[in-house]
Amino acid sequence: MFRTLFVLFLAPIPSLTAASFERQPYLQLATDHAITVVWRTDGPASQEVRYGLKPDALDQTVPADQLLKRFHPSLVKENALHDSVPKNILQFEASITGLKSDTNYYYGIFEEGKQLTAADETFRFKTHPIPGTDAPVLFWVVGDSGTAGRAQAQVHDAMRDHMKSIDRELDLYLHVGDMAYGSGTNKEFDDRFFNMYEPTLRNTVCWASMGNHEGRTSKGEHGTGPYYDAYVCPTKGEAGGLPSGKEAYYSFDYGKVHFICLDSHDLDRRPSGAMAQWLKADLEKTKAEFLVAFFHHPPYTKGSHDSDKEKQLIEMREYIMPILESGGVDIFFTGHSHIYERSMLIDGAYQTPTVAEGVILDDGDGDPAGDGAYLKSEGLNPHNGTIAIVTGHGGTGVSRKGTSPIMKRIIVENGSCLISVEGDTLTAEMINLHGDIRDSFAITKKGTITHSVIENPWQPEPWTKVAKKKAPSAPKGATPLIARGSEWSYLAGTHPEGKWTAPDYDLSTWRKGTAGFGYGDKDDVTILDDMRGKYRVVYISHEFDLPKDANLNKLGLNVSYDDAFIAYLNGHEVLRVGVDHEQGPTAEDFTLHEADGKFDYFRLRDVAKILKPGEKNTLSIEGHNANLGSSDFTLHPELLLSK
Amino acid sequence: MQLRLALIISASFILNCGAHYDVNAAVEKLTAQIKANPTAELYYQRAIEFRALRENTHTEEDLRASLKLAAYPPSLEALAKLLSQQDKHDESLKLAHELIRIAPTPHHQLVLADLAFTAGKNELALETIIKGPPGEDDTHLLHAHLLFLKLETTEAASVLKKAHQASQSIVLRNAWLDASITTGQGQKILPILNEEIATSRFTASHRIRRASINPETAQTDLQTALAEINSRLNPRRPDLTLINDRRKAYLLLGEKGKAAADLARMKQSGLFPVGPWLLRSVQR
Repeated sequence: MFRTLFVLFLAPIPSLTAASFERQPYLQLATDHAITVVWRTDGPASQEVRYGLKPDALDQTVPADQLLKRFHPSLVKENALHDSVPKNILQFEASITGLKSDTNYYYGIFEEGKQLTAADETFRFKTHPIPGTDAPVLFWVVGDSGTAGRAQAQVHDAMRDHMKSIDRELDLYLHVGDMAYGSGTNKEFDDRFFNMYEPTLRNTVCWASMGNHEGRTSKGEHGTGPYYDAYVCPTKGEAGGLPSGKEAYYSFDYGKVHFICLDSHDLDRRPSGAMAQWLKADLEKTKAEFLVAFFHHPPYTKGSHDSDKEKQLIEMREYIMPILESGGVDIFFTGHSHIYERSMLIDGAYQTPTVAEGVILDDGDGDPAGDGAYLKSEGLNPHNGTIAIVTGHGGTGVSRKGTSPIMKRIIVENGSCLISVEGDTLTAEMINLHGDIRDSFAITKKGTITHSVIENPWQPEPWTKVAKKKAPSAPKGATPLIARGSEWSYLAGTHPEGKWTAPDYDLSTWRKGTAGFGYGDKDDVTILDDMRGKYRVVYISHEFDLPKDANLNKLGLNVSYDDAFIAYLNGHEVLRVGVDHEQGPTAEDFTLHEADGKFDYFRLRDVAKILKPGEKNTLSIEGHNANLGSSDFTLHPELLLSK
Repeated sequence: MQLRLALIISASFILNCGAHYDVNAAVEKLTAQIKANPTAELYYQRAIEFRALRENTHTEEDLRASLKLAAYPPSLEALAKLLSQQDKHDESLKLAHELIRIAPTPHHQLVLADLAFTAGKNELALETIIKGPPGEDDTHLLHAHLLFLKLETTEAASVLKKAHQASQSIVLRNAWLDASITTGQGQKILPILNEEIATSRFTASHRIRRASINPETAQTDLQTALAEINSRLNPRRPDLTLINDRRKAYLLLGEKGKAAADLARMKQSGLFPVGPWLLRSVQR
């Protein structure tokens, strides 16, 4: 006890009179020579920023009298905060200039000589490389996250864990809007954005585009409201790109990548409008090698929103996309629709409704380990192909109402995107809230690539009815008669002859493989990489010992499956899930089902007469994909006997 | 009835759990709230959801219902704009005047001026801007445009130059460049154009400007500009901002038929203000 008190006594204790942080320090407006640190206190304070090249040597200062201080509008006329901010709040904005490019710095907030921020390496920033230089960049993209819920935290944690696993720091962070549900108020920003992402925001600049929910309290036309209080965006071309005169839309450079932010919510989207005119001029000026755009409303989606029916989405597609693609955009990120959707390589998909015909330049998956990276010409080239990503799955409930025909991947899970650009290649990964990489693709820009439109492109499977009923989980303490990950006999790519489910059927020509069987969703062991587009049914069979004293009413099948299956015991059909009629090659009437790494438990009823206690028995299963071109397939059963 | 109530309750639950957001679910939620306690703001919010779905009749109904409860400025503005799109200019302007009366902000000043301009009442638009407080970039652009229409081109250029100096917006700068050319001050901006052509990836728009003030390089500039524009156009679905540039290039080359075709394309889109001054340019 005495020792603890002694240590506390010696430790540097912040002044008792110092105002506490209402918003922890965070970074804004990074350039190759400057950055802005922003924070809020809950009362008047005389604070300063110190920074330096080492965490224990913060030898440069932005003194208190050089900080921009912003107050409630009842207290000041110039640079006032939104009137919903409590009167005691003071916002500091410290512009640090004269920095070296592409350099790590450390910083701290001080008051009366005492450091208020933790004296550790997490309070750091890195200046941008000089525009045009060949520097790698890795950035995080999140949308529709602002709930302060568990999913939002998991998505954030998954990104941070991933970054630790690759031993790399983020260079920047893009948010595509809806970061503070439900109305982007000052308090919602605190609770649902700043508090949730604080460890990331203290050392990574978030470049934001405004969502419709922030738009309830903030206005793009005059740049006022809690959203515009929170962000310090370039208006005069400070970070590269051309001056927009507005914080609502802007551009910036990071090395050889040019980033463009648009306001799809509350500004004129017509090509004659100021935003489109600025966009055109900005695209004509940049000499970057990669072009990334981001905004809130997706031109292509059938997630929780429908881009064929909603005004802002239609206008972004019909009015803005032609300008972006004639300027050579490589990839663009949006949110609004609560889903992950990622397109094939497209061009010219401006009509309503969106169709795939005449707009797909490459219908592969873009995965270097799959169909190969998407190829484009070196530099920025008009109409050389674009990837559209809807990443509105950062924390809200996710849902789907259809299939956008230009999409290659449609994943109804919470998650976010990590993008890196290095050398001539942009690589993208979607990481779900559990940290699984659920999609990956790349764009490589080399030489001269001439694309032509694919006449009959690959199409995503139509979204029909999807099984939503939650199946029960397996009973606790059940004994596996056939365990997960067991080795099975299997037949794939052809159909068996005769009564293949019978116990005495000759399986000697079948292959052996470890469950689960499948492709495409990275949850399988025996990969059927020839299945997509070639065949829909896989047959598996396994013998098992049934104890003499087994309670035959307590047998159940625990299965991870996508989309459907029929199970047989000793040659008799005992369970049918997701396929209504027929079997084998003539099976029909499917219900789509995603395995999602989960097992659903089905009790096997009325099987006593079929089973042979104390002897060998045979479990046979045929697994079905509803569509030949389906992006994934899974069949992973275990047979359980409960007490 | 019970099913509908259950749907509304479940929609409300989803909405209140943090984030929805299907537009139809939002409408259902707002409907329930309006039924319980109708306010001008709730009607406005539902109108905005209907507007997102392009349900103009429902949008108008809700905006009118909102205004029956209170002179809510966002509803006034939204209804004034909606009526203007339907060519109901008298009522639109009446609402915009009311908006200015109860909330005289620079933004509302621009709303009135813009609606007046759309209604063909250019004097009212100009008067609104001149009498009002200093406006945003969009206000300056409209102000200059209105002065152009009155052939007060020097004044228009001055407005744009001042506005650009204040905000540095490249849109204002480019408008000022165009105004300078129109007012015969092209030689003064030639260094800017030369600099832009030397440092830009795509140069067509500045080459077209330079062609209109520098006869020596005009032919080369225009042919280069046309080649560049055509290389950037998606043949089936072209970028209209480039079609507008191409129209200007054709006009300077004396190819009026092609200029007229591009102008017709812009007009057909309904997305560019194709006023009589542009039509005259291809007819002369």
